[in-house]
Amino acid sequence: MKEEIWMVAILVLVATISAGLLGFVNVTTRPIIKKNEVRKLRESVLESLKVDYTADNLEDKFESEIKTKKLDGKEIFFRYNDSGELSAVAFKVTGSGFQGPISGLISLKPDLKKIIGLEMLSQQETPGLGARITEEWFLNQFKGKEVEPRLLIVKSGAEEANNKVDAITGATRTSKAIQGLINDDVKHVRNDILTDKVMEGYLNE
Amino acid sequence: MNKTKDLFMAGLWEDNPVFRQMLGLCITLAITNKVANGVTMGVAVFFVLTASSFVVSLIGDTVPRRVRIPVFMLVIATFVTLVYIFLQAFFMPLSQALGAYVGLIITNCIILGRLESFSSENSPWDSLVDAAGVATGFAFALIAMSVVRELLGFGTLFGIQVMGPSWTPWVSMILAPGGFLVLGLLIWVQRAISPVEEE
Repeated sequence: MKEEIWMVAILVLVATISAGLLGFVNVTTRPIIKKNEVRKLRESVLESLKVDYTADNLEDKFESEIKTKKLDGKEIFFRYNDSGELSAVAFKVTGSGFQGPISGLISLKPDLKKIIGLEMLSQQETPGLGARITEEWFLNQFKGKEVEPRLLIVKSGAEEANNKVDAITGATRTSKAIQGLINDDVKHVRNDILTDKVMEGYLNE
Repeated sequence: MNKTKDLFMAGLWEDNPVFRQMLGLCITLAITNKVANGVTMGVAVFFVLTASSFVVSLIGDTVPRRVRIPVFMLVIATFVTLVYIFLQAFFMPLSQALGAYVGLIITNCIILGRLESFSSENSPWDSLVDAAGVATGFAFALIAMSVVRELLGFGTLFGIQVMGPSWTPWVSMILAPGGFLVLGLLIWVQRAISPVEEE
């Protein structure tokens, strides 16, 4: 009997210390992590909208170059050119990948059809296979591609087209996931949030 | 001093966790198609293994035999999570590269194996040396495999093009079959250099 109590006591003790330690570290680092995430998002926005920035003027550039609007709970980033016309729109695209959630940031021309750029924000795909979606060569392919009628991620070597992008060898499921989340989210934004009517209000600064 | 060296070398070579003990093979096969992955995983496991070995060697006598596995798992999981939170807060880019590895480290049977068979019954110093040796051996195996696979599968090393432009990458090398093939070949090489002594 004594041994059983001792066993339970030890387990409870170790679990308590562990939980306490992790809880403490989690609470103290949460603001920093949150700040990092916001920064990463802003970096991706500037990156994909082709705004030059340095680590020091990131916040200023973001404030001055990008207009952020929350529409239907979705953050949309607008960029205007020098004459005040809308030149690009960016927003998050999210969905489930092969092993966990994937989120990226897509920027499009004001027609919401042509892609300007794609950046990855977070992913948990297999290192060396699916995780290669974060590599330059993969993301660069999306530049100038059309999401209309559908963006397709196909086996490399397939016939080229302006809505086709090469998949990652050995990561078919991840590639399909990216295809799905881009098409779905862009369609959702175009049909439900930034409809032609709503868009009119944002065409000029 | 000699004992320390022997202990370290045993983990690194004679009892190499991958090539001799056949542990941690799942991770080894999964991540070794790029050298950078191998290095990252090696460093992460080194930290978690040495830290948890040290803690377990201190508390090993106090923990009743029947609950040792859950206690060891808690210690490992705590260190892994600490590392992960710490990286997210202070080394954001690294944590993004590491993201998918974290769960893999907790379930790495090499770590649990060392805690169970060595650290819980030995002094903190010996445990540290043993852990460092085994972790280095694991990293060595990962890097050896990933050098072969990345070179043949991508024609690169650390992402830098090494093979000439006429090189046709062996795609199967970056997929699972290539992993099994290279693992088998390296086990053969390691055993050819220092043969297993039959009892």
